[in-house]
Amino acid sequence: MNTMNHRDNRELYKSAFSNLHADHTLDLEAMKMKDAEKKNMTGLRCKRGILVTTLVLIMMLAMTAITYAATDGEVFQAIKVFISNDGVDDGQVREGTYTVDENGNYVLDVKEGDNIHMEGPEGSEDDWTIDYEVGSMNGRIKAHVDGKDDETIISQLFIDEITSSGDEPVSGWVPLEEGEELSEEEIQKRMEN
Amino acid sequence: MKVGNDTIEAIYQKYKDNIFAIGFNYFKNPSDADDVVQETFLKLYRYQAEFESEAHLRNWLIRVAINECKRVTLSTWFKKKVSLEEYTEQIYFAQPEESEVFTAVMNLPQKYRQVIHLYYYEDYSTQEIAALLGINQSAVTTRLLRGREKLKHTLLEVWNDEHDEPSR
Repeated sequence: MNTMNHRDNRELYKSAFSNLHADHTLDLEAMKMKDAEKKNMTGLRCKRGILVTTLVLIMMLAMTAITYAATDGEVFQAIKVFISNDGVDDGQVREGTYTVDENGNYVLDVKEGDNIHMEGPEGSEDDWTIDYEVGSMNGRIKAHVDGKDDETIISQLFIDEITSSGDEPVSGWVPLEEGEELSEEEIQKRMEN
Repeated sequence: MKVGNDTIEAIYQKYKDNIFAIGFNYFKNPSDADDVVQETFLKLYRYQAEFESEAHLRNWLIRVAINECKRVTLSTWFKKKVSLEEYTEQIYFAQPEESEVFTAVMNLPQKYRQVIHLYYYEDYSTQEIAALLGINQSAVTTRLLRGREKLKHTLLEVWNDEHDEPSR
């Protein structure tokens, strides 16, 4: 490991960004008033999704930059998929590819212990990412996405032949609220309904 | 350590610029970054809990700041903002290299510069960054590597080669 270079870059970075300063002074009274105002507010509040323990799906989506060659089911682009296993250190990330089926779903085969990180085309703000921890499950995932002008959109997640070790495989579409995160148990429950 | 009305001022003075830098890294303008600072410390004021350690407090503040960055509010859209270029001109850099690094980093895609900042400025490991951002560690590694590549490409000799994988 080149420790000298690490220190040089780190020191340079810190020097550059140490010139940023917050503009405000702390006003406790103003904070108390603001806090009181917030507590009195009525109206809609956004509910957070259910926090995930074994299954985390976070997606930041690309917009129009991604065009789907979805109708003919061909591999539309060798978008990189980084797969690593639990306990493996940073250097052992490997790449894979996935396909887009005729319905515009992203299809990837996964195995137990995989952590999936997919990224869209590099070099643009209009790229997207899926982070998916497989945990103890094996099988295939599909993600159907909708293009919108901002991030974090996934409309449905299809769990195909996903099984925890020793359990019967399950499959089915699981509709998601925008940006929602689901636990494995919740996914099972929704597929049964 | 307990956070109360008597200690929050000191905590603010110690960490306000760190939180501002996180907000600025995300939004690329100082007014939104100031909002992140205010909202983060408002939450601390409300929370007023006991933290296991200084590190625990610091992690909490940074995590809250990152989450605040993701919240889009109407005020964000309608506020008059200073452009990045205008603001950069106001900053004093001791050396030209600092200005070059600053500009190059701020021109990275947001997902790269966020990881770069947490790694180089806040000294977090890739594992810690993954936990803060709610993404997996391989994602952090790849973003860090790609961010470095872009910086190297832009800055040439100013940014040194780092041949090893980020493993802190």
